[in-house]
Amino acid sequence: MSNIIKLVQLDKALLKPYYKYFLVMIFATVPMMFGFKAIIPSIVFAMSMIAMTSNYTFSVAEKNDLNRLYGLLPVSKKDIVAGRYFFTAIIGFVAIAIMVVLNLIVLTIAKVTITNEEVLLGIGSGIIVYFLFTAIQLPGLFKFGSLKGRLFSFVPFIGIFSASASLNSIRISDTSPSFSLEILNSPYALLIFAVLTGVVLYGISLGISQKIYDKMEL
Amino acid sequence: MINAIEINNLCKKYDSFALENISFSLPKGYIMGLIGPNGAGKTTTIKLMLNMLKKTAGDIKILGLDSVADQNKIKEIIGAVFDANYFVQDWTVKEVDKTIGIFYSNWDSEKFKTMIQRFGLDLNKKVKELSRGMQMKLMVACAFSHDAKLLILDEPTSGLDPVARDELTDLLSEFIEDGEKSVLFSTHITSDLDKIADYITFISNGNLFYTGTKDEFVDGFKIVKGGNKDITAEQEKKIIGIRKYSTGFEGLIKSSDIRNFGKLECEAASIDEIIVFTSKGGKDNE
Amino acid sequence: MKIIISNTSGIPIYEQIKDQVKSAILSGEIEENELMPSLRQLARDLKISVLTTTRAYTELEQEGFVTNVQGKGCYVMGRGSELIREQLLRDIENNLTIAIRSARRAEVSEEELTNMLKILMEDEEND
Repeated sequence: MSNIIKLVQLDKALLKPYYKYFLVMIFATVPMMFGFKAIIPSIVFAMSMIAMTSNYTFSVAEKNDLNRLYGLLPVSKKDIVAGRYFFTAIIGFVAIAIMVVLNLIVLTIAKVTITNEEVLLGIGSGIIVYFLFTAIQLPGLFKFGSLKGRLFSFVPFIGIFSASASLNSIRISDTSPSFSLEILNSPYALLIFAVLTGVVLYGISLGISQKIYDKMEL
Repeated sequence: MINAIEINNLCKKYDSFALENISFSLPKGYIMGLIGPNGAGKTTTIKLMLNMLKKTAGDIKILGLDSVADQNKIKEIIGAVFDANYFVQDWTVKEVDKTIGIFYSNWDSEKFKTMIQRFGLDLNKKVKELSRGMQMKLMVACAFSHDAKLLILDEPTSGLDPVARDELTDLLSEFIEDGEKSVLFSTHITSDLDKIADYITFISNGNLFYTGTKDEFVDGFKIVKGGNKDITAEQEKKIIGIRKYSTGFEGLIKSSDIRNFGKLECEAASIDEIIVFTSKGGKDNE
Repeated sequence: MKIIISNTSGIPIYEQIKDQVKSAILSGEIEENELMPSLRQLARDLKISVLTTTRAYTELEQEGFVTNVQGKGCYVMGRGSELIREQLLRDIENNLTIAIRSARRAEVSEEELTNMLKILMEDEEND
């Protein structure tokens, strides 16, 4: 088993006490979905909320003084950082999947018709929002820890505000996007663009975090 | 033969503290006590061995492997017991087995469970519900379960009752019994070491004061006692550390200087006395 | 074989081990070719350093009481061993010297002393 997968499993074990908060958070977004009555702003909103949980692993590690454990395990510091990024990415994808399903259920109940394009656009914007925010947060959390770096966990508020603000501007009728770049008008292209953006953002952010963590003395 | 630990001219510089030119080695199959007052650099040395800190200079080899270049290989064969456990407090003992076990290629879950049972630990109890002594045993169980070749203990007995301390020293003797495994034991409770340690490394204020067999260490010093008028200025210069009181004095001398103290009463020094007097002497010189 | 360690006697631990092993051999409590407890086993049992038991065994080997067979362990040498016989002779001489000194102080004649020795030896044999 690769070290990174082992570390992902360790992170999963770290979050065990937080599982219930995740459930609460997911269900807390349901009323918002009824409010938005549109998949894109509700996914942006939900994924911003989920991005705010990226400090949980750091906070458990800090509270339990796990630096000594990380120092003892037969894994490199680079792997420890990469494991955390993988884990955060997995959380993101799982959360998006759940949110899409929830949205479809909520919108069906609310009798709002929804197109495939809208779903794809929702997934795409969810990915961009989540990966952008976490890519900004993670290096800060590696540098300062969850307590001193808690400012970074509030970064996704930007997303929450913009999702709420967009509620007034974006109506269900005019969700068809109009980008100057022609290719981005295809929802499939936008999805690919979103994934690529996520990969690039994480690539850069991971490099920075690895440098930061490697310099740190445990 | 490969030494379990081989440290050469290890240096670590901080703004306010420096560990300087520490060299010592521990042959395979023995127990070494790492002693010195608080803040002497014991934990720094251990963290450097684990590559948790970056050394300024020098090199560290564990069973022939370099502490930086081969750190993952080294950590596979190192077990550690610290003054506080390093698990998530909400994990159960069973989860420790599952989560920590996957990291070690040699992890033997059966052995872990056997140790846990032997120590009277409950697999379903959370780490935070265990007593200090139990938590110590949980860390020992982990070290035994991945077949560690070197056990590093950093102040493992602080906060432990005498029964748990005795059990720990028993476990250490058991650990090294096959002659292949070794122990580095940092402590300031030297009574833990009086009997079982084979070697002593004494660090004071970031500098190496002594490294070698415990017997030579203890035999190398004597406590000299007498009335305040019994000692000449010449003799006092030979004393490493001295305590004067209204009716007399006692001091630590090198056994090789014993003939300079002719009539004065000399007796064997304990490890504790050696630490206390050498750090007192150090202060006087400042 | 009984080995106990005293922390208050002031005698080094390796000396204590040596003395007790020697008297066990000399008294016949442990037989020739019997396997001694291993160095590490003994260290563990007595809660002492391995270097201490090593030193005791090494000196016992030098004095001819035990022999170390590489990879197998330490075996008791026969009481017939030259070195042990030497040691026993020395013991006899020392003890007789003490007897002679006491005899002088008590003004016991040479004849009386040898008589005492004969009587004691007969008693021993009858036991």
